[in-house]
Amino acid sequence: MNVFKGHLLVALLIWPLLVYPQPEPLTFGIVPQQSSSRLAEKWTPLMSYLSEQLGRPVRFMTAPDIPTFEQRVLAGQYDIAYMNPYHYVEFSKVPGYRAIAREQGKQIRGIVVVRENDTATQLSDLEGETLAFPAPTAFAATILVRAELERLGVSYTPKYVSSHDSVYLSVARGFVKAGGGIERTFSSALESGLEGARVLWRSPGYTPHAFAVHPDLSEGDKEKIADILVSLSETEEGQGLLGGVTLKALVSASDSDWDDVRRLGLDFIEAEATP
Amino acid sequence: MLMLLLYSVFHFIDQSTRDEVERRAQSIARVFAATAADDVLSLDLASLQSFVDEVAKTPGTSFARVVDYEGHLLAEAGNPQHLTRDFKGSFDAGDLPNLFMAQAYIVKAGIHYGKIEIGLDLRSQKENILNLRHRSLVIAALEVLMAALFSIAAGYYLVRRLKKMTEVVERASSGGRAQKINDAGHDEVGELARQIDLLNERNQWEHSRSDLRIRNLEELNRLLQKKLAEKRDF
Repeated sequence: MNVFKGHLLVALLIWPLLVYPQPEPLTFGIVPQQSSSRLAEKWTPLMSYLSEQLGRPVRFMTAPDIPTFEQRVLAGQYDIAYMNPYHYVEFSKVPGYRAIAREQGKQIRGIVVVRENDTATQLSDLEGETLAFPAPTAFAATILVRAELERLGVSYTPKYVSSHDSVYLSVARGFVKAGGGIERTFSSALESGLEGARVLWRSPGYTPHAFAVHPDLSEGDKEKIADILVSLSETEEGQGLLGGVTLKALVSASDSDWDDVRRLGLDFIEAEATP
Repeated sequence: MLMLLLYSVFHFIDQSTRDEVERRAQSIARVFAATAADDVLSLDLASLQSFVDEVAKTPGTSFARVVDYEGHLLAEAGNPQHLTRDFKGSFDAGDLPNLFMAQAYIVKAGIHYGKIEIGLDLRSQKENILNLRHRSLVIAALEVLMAALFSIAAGYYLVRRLKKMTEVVERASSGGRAQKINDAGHDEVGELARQIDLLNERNQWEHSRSDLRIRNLEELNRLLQKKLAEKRDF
């Protein structure tokens, strides 16, 4: 009889667990700028913090490459996504991701690099030349530079060489006339011994990467996630988490924050992507 | 003693093989997990499947399987029969199993993202161990046989020499003319034979001296008797 009572007690205790299923995990997609393992190491602590704060598991996700990431965002596979400004502009249209946060006071810029002894003084001097870029949808290094060239009506042949470092080396060794990059990686390349290259042009600053949520996510969840992200910089723990993913303090963001990117007129990228 | 030695050797072989199999399986699983981590994290299922296919083709590997943190199968390849078996990570103290399984987790910043399971086919290893046992037993049996034959030969050789010495000593002690043993061996028995030969020679020399003295005494006695007789005649 006592055994029966014991079983009954256990059954009553675990009954709520059986009746109320565990909440579905939220998926958080990160744009694959580094290897998946490196990204997971960096971003998982933030995911754990979000899980704790939301009372619901948040899973880190990424993709093997940018095109696959774009496909997955387009298919709405991520509940939350961290994406570059161009991606946000595109995916805010379809499937309709909504921006919730971005870095405070940060502007993203692109540069054009030429050889040290090159006579070019302005972008129009690159007319008819072959220019190196890291990847078709790299926002600062490719899109900002190409948008400016389009605006100026400069014709050129783009050549994609996989990484920022390859761009700088291709320019320094004279394989291409010029190439697109960003200040941080160019400085890093100079520190690593790169010689014979200089900056020809710097773009204006643009709104940086976006934290955005899937349109199907409830308004309550959206606000809750935005609040957690924005308040990260208010605590020591949150600052540590932001430092881990090399981000500054986050602020609330709205869709119009990326209007500067929209004004660039990025139709040429869409035209190239069409088979 | 030999049986004890063989048992110890076989036990040691079993134990070291178990340890090695376990260590190797864990190493493979960990290397596999580290290599497959990027594909698992980015859900690059095509690359993961290619990788799993290659791993399953590695000699000695029966199967490879990757599951995500919820247990969903991401990729698997290898022996279809082995793939259907439930995972069993360690083996009992008995014989080595034909299939040994190991697993490793893909963990980033303390969070589990997936699991790698591999199966090692131990049949060829078990066959090698069996062959080694058979060879050891055959060598041990040959060794016993050789030891027995050598002991018999050595015993026969020793007994033959001792027997000859006994005959010589018996003949000498019974007063017969002692024959030399003439043992050419350089061992202790040969030395003993030489000492017996020396003793016999000395005995013979003593004996010949004693005979000569007796003969001399008898001659003296005879001369003395003769002198006494001559004096009595006067």
